[in-house]
Amino acid sequence: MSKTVDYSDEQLTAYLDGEMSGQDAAALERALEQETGLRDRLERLRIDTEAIRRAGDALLDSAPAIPDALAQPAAEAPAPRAFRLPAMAAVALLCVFAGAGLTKLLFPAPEETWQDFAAIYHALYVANTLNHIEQTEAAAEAELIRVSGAIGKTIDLDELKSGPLDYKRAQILGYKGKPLLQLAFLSKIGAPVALCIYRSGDAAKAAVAAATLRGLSSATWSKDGYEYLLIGGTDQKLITDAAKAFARLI
Amino acid sequence: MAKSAHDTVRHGLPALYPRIWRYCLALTGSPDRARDLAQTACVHALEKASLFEPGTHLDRWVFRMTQRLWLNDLRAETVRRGKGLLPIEELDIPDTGSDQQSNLFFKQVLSKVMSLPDAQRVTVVLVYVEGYSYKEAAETLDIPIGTVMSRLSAARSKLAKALTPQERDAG
Repeated sequence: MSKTVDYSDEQLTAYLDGEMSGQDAAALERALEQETGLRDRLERLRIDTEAIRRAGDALLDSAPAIPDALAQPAAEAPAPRAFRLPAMAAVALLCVFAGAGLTKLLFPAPEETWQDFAAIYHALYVANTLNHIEQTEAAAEAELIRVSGAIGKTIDLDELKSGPLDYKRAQILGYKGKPLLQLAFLSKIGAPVALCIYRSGDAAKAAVAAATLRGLSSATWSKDGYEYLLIGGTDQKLITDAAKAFARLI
Repeated sequence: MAKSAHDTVRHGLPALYPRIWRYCLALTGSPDRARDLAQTACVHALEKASLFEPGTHLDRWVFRMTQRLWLNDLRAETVRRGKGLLPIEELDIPDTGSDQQSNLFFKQVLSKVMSLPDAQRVTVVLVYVEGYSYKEAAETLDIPIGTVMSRLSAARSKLAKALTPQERDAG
């Protein structure tokens, strides 16, 4: 009676996956030669992993098209007009995977504003991006102080909560090396809405003006050296009214 | 430095997107939820881009982030909102676009993989589909290597029973 090591299913799996060290694998192979029971157990764990890999690869063809916003040129990285090799490779991949965004990548808009950038970005938001966020009053307050400080501004949490939009969170994004403040909300029907604030240093004052950016309702205004964008959903009246209220408060 | 990290992430995401979606399918078990999660994960990746270290693997970084996002935030929310997880029979695995016979075969294999419990399914996809080593899978999923091994051995045991001899031998 030869005494053999008792192998666990995990070890047998590691052997089948080529994850066992050479020495251990050799020992296991010797044991397999002697023990039918062990061989049976190994066979009961054997599957065609190559078939799983191929089935998984075939699945890639069914992947949904990449959201247009992801295929947009970055506002803060004005690519040279000349065709560079990596850019061409990226374009080739996009053609294969998405079939969209080609002209946008090859011919980026020469003068993209921070509002365009924020709109592209916001177009990626879905209700799920925000609806899990539940902050305590104190946490929301602390976050707001930290984040609004980045653009040298003080914003009162109550002001953000006073309107019809459900306030979710504040975070700092960046545009051309300068902080861009994003305050995120959900509308009553679950549309993600963002109030974006950028310090322009330009003293010019502009009243609330409505516009459609990237298919989203938006409103822009500026005052005291800051530029503002409220964007989200397709209810232009909601956005314009909320923008007017924010313009008074903030 | 931060800018180059941001560029790497932004330029890398489009090519990676189909694989992100496939990984989300393994996490969520539903094409619709996979689409939403993939999109949310990309937003997240862009937001956190400055934390990415260029020269490391973008796929693993995004997968790790996606899995945390799903487990910590969105999974519970999906259940809470009554969109229960799975009913796997209802999962309509999309046509894979190859010839009809291999299409059918791939669908059968995928549906068996998709019927595995969540944790096993996602580990199978990382190791057998993405080709990750145990160590890479463990790091991506934030679990010990021993857990990767036990998930895979449990999955193998189920799949070996579920796949008919023809399904096991083909391919």
